Amino acid sequence: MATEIIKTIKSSGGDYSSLSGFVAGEARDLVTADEIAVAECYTLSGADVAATISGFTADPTRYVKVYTPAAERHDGKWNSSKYRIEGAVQWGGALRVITPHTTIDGLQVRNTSTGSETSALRVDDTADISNNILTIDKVTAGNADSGIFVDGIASGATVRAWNNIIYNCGTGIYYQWASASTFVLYNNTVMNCDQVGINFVGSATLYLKNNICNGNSTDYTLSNLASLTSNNNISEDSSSPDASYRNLAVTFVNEGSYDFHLDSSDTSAIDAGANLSADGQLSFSDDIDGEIRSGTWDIGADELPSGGVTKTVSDTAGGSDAISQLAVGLTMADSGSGSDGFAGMAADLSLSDAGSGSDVIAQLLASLAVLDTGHGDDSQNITVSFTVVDTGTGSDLVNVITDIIKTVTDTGSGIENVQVSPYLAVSDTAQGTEIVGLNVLLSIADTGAGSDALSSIQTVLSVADAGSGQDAVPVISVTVPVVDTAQGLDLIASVNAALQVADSGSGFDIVSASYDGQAKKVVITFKSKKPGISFSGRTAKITFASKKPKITFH
Amino acid sequence: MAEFLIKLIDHTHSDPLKDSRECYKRGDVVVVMPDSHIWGKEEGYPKFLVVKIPGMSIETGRKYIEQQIQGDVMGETLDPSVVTRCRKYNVLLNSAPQTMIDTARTQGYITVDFNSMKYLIKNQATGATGGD
Repeated sequence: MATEIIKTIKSSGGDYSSLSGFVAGEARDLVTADEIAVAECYTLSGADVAATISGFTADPTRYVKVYTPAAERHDGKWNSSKYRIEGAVQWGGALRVITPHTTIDGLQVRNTSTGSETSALRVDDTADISNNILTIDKVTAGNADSGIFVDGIASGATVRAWNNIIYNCGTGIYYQWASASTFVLYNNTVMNCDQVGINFVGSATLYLKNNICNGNSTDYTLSNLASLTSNNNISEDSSSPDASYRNLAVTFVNEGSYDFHLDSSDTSAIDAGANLSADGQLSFSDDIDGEIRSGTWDIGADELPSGGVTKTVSDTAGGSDAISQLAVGLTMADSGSGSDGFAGMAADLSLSDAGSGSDVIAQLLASLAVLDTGHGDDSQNITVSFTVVDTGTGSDLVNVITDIIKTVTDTGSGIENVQVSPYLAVSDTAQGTEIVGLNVLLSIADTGAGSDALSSIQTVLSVADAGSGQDAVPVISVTVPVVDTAQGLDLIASVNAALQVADSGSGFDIVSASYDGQAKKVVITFKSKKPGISFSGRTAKITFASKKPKITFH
Repeated sequence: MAEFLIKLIDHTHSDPLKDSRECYKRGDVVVVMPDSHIWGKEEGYPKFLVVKIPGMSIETGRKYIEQQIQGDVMGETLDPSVVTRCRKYNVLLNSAPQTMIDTARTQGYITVDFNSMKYLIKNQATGATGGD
């Protein structure tokens, strides 16, 4: 497997201060070196300057990867406080990709030129383009003033573009009578272009699925293609190749401010897409915000969360990564008088590590809160799931996995029905030496007058170790306080905490146990009628620090 | 003041066409940044030379990061979408005083007046020197 060589682009303290500097300093034969050249782009003090990715020798497994880490990335809407490229380039792109097999992920690119053929992104060869926001500044733009311009592409190339938002261009994605190539365009949102949303005229092989084109002069122009495979493409006019998806206006959160997240009131794109998670040309399962697409997919770059948030980090590369925080916070505030049901308030944070690098994950953090001051009778179900699956050989450090707070604060008079259930799991089947800490704090405070039912407060912390490394699990702790100062008659059906450590690995592990300082004792309870402790070693010893130790059998 | 990041060593590609069109060469101005720009750890000797030019605006400086396109050279068929060199202008570092390179090596950058530097800037499409 090729080795990832990561170089950072930062305002200070990075390897480079611009993407152009990265290209000039890092261009090399990646195939011979068996390397992947990664440009990790951080938010700069201003916009990065225009850049061209060229000069590398690459193939499908040794290539250039340009991407933004989650904290440096737009949030599905243009964000000037995040990494972005802005440049005035005519006859090209503010970002141009010449080196084949390059991947561009999570960027914001704007071409500010008023000249000819001003594209945000110009692609000359095989490339993967995902999760980007692309636009140009021209007031009245022509056909070739594009979000993605692929008209000069190399013969036989394949360009795959998914989860991109493109707006205010001449043409969103432009190809016309160029070389015979293959294009896979899935789940893009193309808005308000002066000429055409998606323009493909000529000998291309085109796979077109789950795209939204709305508000363009013409949404789709598709003709003379070598072949077209299409389904579930929305047009506001009658130009979609898919008859059932024509004349549909999609409702966005705020189209005027270029927020093209789907509004929950939309009836055209939500749950109207095809599931492409096993698609033969391009399989993926997230949206432009990194949220997992589940159930019936939405059309376009955004997937409307179904009452929850899912974040997944999958590490299969060899580099050593630092994830400072994988966090999610949700707050539901209810001050109305209606009776509400929050069927699913969920956060699912998942980290899958199959890479050989030694990674540092500073914190996985979730905070979900319901603040209920209303009078209605509400029902809440709050779930957090953290999963860390480590199958790589590196020695990883997971400092803290904190299901920090699920707070239900009830000061209203209604009758509430609450279920709170976190789940933290660490599965270690790899050989590395891991250090993991797990903490859960669940808090329920009831000062309201209603009679509440807390049907379930549960937490499960699980550490399964089948790897051969020597691991240290310094802390596994659960705190579940239930504080009731109100007058209502409350029913607390169950408060459960289960801690499981399953160790089938061959390594020498250390599990540090806690001590109850108030009770000044350690209690070990055996449910078996014939409890026993066995020692497999030739010499075994239990040492008591107290002068009068006592073991009681009931 | 503008600051130039200049490539110090040739990058090469095994494909001659890609080598001439896609590879930065010694003397190419890669980026131009404003005064007091904080350069990255790799953006210095031995890969790059940082040249600070008092009195030059960013807009003026960015002329020297233009790509050379097909048609810039007299007699070529015009196709501005085809990049024929990473940079149209090149600083003739081999003609620069050795003290300039040595200073950059020890200090991390050099500060020069543009009038004393422009004779080293060559327009590779026309062959003219002088920065025009």
